[in-house]
Amino acid sequence: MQFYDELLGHDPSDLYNSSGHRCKELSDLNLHNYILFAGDNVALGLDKPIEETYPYLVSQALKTDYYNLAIFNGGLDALKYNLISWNNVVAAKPKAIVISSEFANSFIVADSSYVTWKACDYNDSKVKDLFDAGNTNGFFDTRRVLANKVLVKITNAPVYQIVFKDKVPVMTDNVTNINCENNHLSIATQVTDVIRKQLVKVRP
Amino acid sequence: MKFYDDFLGTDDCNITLPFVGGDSKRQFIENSATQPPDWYYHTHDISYEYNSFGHRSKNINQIDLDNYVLFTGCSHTTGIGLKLEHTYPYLISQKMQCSYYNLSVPATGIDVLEHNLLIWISTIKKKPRAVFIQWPDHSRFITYNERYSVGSERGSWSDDPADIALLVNGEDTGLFNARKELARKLIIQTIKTPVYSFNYANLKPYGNKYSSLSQIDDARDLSHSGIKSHASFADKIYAEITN
Repeated sequence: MQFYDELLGHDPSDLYNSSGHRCKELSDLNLHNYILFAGDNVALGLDKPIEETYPYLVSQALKTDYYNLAIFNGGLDALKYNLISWNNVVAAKPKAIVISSEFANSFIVADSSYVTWKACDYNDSKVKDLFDAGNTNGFFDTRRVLANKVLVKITNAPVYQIVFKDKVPVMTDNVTNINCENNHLSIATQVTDVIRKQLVKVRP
Repeated sequence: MKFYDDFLGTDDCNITLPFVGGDSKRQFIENSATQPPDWYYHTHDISYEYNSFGHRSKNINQIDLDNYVLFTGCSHTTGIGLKLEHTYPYLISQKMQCSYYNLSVPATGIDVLEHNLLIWISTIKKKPRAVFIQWPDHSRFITYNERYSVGSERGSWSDDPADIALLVNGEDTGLFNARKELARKLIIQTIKTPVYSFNYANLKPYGNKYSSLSQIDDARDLSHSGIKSHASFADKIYAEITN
């Protein structure tokens, strides 16, 4: 994981663009007509070709371009950081923002010199202890409350949130929730339907 | 700690208090007994005036938004143990001949600091001339109980086993390092106005070019930096701004 012109992306790999994101280059994005995706593992869909992932399918169905800010196991840290940074870096507003998080409580770790950045390792006993402690004293719930308030203020487009059964949603305010199963085709169909209806509503 | 229009502030709002937090009346009485006859606080009181958002500052609608600076940090920036006129935010704004708002909340850390700054930037459209950030201990955090709308400050003083486990493992795993640097990056890129970063005494710096608020004398609570410390620090920061 590393920073590319303020945005947080994966380390270089054939899977990602030059900013470490699983989508086309930012410079190739149609900024007049795009949807912004953010989240973690499901939004990446690393187990399938990009053409079968829901960000791709939704943008095809809605005839828009898209950018995918999702970070593997990035949790709330990466989602919040990248959405706010996007707002700072890219002047053009998206038509919609679609967020999802399988592992909202996941967190990013760094060494004291900020050279190495990565998602926390769920097999590390200290990470497990930290999850237990943070769920007990309210650290993670509070992190979500704070992030929600800031994202509501800062996001500049309608926000749609994919909510998976038994998973904690990131946002609670000013967001349209879409309850989904973990299946890209079905997610894409549901998200497309909801966004299409909303877009029709706002047309004059 | 509470939310006021999405800002986090102390529980005390719209109130003037003679003592707060560690600068308690009991502590004052104990300290008085150990101090020489010419101790400043034998003869001078302190008033802590908290605005409608629980900040030791004027209300937002009372400051000149066309000519102001913004301060944030923890108790050192609130000026615990000092009269308002002796605090470095007051002194720097006097030197800069401008209004100021003080977002600091005592005993809080990166999460509150980042939150209040991002809420300020997204809410108050007029930009400050400069933002002064006193970075607190990076391990501090808050917990917020939505049911009762009350938050509480957690840190090295906490004796709750879950807090201690989080403090130890947050340090060991690198969570606190990441949280600190992510917050710093977000703040710097979002504010788009000059930012002056510093910390208290020997806490680990958050950047390369860095100042620190030293403690060359004590405030009334004999714990925070005193009158001379704040005056000297204000001079130093003002020199940085003008050079």
